[in-house]
Amino acid sequence: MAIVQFENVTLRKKDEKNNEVTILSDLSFSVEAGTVFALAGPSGSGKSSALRLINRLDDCSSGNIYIDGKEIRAWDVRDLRNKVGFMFQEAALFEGTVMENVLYGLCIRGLRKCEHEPTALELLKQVGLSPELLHRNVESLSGGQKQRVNLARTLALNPDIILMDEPTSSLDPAATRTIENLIQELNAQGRTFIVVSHSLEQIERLASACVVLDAGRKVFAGSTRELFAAREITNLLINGKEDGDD
Amino acid sequence: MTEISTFQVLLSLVFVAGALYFSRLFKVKMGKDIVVSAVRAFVQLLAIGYVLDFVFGLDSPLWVVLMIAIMAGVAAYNSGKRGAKVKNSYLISSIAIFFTTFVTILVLSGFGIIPFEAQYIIPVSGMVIGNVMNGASLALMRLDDELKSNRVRVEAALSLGAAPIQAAAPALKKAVVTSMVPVVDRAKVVGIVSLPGGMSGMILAGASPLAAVKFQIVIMYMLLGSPFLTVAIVNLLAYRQYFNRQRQLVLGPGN
Repeated sequence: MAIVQFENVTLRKKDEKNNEVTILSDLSFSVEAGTVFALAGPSGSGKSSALRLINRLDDCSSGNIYIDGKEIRAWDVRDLRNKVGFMFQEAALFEGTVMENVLYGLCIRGLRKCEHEPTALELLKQVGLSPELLHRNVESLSGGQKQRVNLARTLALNPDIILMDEPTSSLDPAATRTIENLIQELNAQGRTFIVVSHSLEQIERLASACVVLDAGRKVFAGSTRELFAAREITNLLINGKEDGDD
Repeated sequence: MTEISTFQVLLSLVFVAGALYFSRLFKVKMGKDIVVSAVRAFVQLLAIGYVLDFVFGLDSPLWVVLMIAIMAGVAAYNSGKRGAKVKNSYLISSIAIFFTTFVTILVLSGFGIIPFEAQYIIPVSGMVIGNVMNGASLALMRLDDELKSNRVRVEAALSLGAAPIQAAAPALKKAVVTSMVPVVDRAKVVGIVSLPGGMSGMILAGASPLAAVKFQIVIMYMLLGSPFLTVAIVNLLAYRQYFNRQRQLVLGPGN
């Protein structure tokens, strides 16, 4: 069953000169529950913009997005963000300790868990971080540790769907592997992942299906196996493989 | 107090001439600015002198209120212009400056510290308005800067279910601190590094230094407290301009 479905979604925004630009054009695809789905494409193709729509950080200009069969605008935005977690490209951690970060979502909901160490320790365990890091300032962590804290913070709210915007773009190969292993473990527990990536290798390792965008348009949708059979699409991903946000 | 003759006023132009000389000496091309500001200061102060003389002579509360409203209006306009990157900046700075001025004057005259008479109310209002105008401008500019430069953190907080005020809280905190640092620093060094204008004026006019100091303490406390009120109002109204009902951060075109 599709847990996320895009139906003819178009996104337009105003640029610095107040001209309207089309970011996504007539985009349709669906993501099956319990899978790892990749949103791929070269830099500037609109994949991060598509991801933001699923968490309602932006609204589409036309078309429909369904989450669990319900149109996204019919969801209470708080309930939606409980169900759909978002892990940003940069480790957008807040100033403070690891514990303050991982318990943030629970704390702001007034669940009186701001100081609840066992909950924080359980979350660190889930992402394979040492309990000794609990009271460390996040500034002192390595890039890989920061991304794992970022993931623990997202997991605290127990979302069914986790959106990841290039989660390993700034990490070394070992840290990348750790994050990928975590994704696979959490996926095995039934969570759905939608991962933005421009790396063919990562898509192959993680995803079972993907959609490839180019200049805001869908150029491929299908299984990862089908993707590797489509030479022109893999070429697009290899040739357009540049670091950077879109 | 000794009356200064018009000739003596003209003699003080020697300081302006000195500034012009150094501007030429250092080739900083500020000559035009110096002349313009000297002329503007002369014309503006002379004009306000006549206006105050007129208002004091009328001895009418309505004219006092009108005068204060004009001063606050000009300050709100300036502040709104400086913080124009914030949507509705003119309205926000107007609400904050008018409200703070009203509350401050109400407290001061309510406590009987200054009588509700033109010659007290107008200069004190001028001090309040000048002071809170800077606070409002800084708060508007800083909040815009903080929210834009910390966009990822703000959106991360929103995606974790934060309400706009929770997501904007770190930016609001920084905006308050930055806006208030000059005010707090000034209060720390007053009497050591600087003698405030009001107190100096009273001593020059013949008041005893202790009487002048008492008055200045009241003024300093007022100048310490009133910008906090302005900055709080500005922040609480301004952060809302960056979020919509769907708890989305709205930064405008190009963002």
